[in-house]
Amino acid sequence: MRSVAVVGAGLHPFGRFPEKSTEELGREAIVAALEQANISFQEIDAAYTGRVLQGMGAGLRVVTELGQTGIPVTNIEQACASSTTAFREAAMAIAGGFYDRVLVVGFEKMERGLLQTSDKQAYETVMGLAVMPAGYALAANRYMHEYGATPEMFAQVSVKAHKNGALNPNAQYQKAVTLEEVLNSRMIAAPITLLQCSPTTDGAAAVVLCAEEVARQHTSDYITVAGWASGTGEYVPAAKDGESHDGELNRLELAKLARTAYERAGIGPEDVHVTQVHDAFTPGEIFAIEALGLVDMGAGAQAVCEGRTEIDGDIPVNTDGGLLSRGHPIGATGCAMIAEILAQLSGRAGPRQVSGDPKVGLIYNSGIGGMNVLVLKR
Amino acid sequence: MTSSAAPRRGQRRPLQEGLFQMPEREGAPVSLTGNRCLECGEAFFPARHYCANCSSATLERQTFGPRGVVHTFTVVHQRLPGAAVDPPYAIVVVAMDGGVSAQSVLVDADPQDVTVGMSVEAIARTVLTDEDGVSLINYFFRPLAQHEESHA
Repeated sequence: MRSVAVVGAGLHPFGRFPEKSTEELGREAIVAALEQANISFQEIDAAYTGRVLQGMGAGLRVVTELGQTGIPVTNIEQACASSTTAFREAAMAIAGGFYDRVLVVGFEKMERGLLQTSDKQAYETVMGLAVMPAGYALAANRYMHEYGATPEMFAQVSVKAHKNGALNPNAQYQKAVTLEEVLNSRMIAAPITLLQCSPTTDGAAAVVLCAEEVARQHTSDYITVAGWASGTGEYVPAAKDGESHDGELNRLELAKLARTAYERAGIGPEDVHVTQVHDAFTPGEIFAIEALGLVDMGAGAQAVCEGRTEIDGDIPVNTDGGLLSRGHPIGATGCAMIAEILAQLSGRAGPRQVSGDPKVGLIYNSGIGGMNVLVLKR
Repeated sequence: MTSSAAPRRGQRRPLQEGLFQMPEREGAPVSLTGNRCLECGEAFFPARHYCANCSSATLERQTFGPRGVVHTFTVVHQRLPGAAVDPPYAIVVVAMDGGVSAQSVLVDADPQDVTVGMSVEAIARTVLTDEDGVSLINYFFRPLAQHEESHA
């Protein structure tokens, strides 16, 4: 297999852009990524796109904004993990020798309001069960019961996220918030308040991948895909499920995927310098850092409160504000995570830069329908 | 005209088929209807055609509950478009007697009083009445009083 390099990334700022079309959002992200990669669109061999809500064949509409070169364009929908799945498919095609230069773009325009699970199935909607934060809230209450965590600990994730988002010009929310503001915002599903929910967002993010042997023709400033693992929730026998209510969060499966990704990358969790995780709701960051092995099971909430996941902490997490503050245009989120890791490992993260010359980045992107773990290395 | 009779005002039917056996009266305790894999022994609610654990197609019908214990919960304060329940309400995940987990709304209790480990019972209740006047029934959970628990 050939080594795969990430040579460029670009974002259309995340936020609300009612006046702009999906095509415009995607185009601006693609142009920025190609520019950083020092590759022209005419050189691209294939494109993989991630989106959820933009209608049939939306990827083709976005990609051909840059030209009709006749390349294959693959549309991928995997809920909130769409664009890391698109990235994985692109990386595998390059590793297998099928393409040399591939574009990955994620984009989304979303309506305001709570995202509903289960495709608005009548039963769960009528019963009031189809409320998106409920899955995280159910797991959070069980976690509090088992480990003695408090609502303040979950809220602290949002405080940290917004502090980082305030340093990110592409973030939807660029304003710090206090613990009191988070706790006193409207209750959605206890213990999760409004400021502990990721927003609905318009935005796009693009990434350019190359075979490493080709990357050097374009730039010396690239990172490589050192390891990855993807999966869906494996059935947990009733006897084991009693340990924690995992629900849709699949923490046991994530821990397994993380071990596979580390093994493929030849590292352990202690070698990771900067991490991006799926904090769709505040408990997500705590559960993720535990399942990824960055802290012990049950120690995640305390780690957040001790500042360990801050930019200047020993396990910096979601340095760009995460889904909570950077925003969560579901199809674009995965590529935005990759863009932030590329910026961090290239020393281009400006005021958000993690110190100590970080060389290993970790990504966990999750959606209904699958989870992706990526290890990127400089 | 279709062959089935038109629904009549006052009739009752489940909100969703196959989850529980319809009791005679509103508020009566109900067992939940699922199945168990004859190959590996795993139990499922709702019932599955193929075992989630071993993919066997040999499963036999089994009922669970009506009693169980709250494994976890949340109190929902946000109104959901299309929902027939009014916030605040508690969603409970219940470890049912017989070994499956079931999720529904807690009734007959202040949602703030729900705790992990609370003993509950599944009961059948009207969720809403549709445009033909038919009552749509589903299972909910209600707390078991202390003296009821002792009979368990």
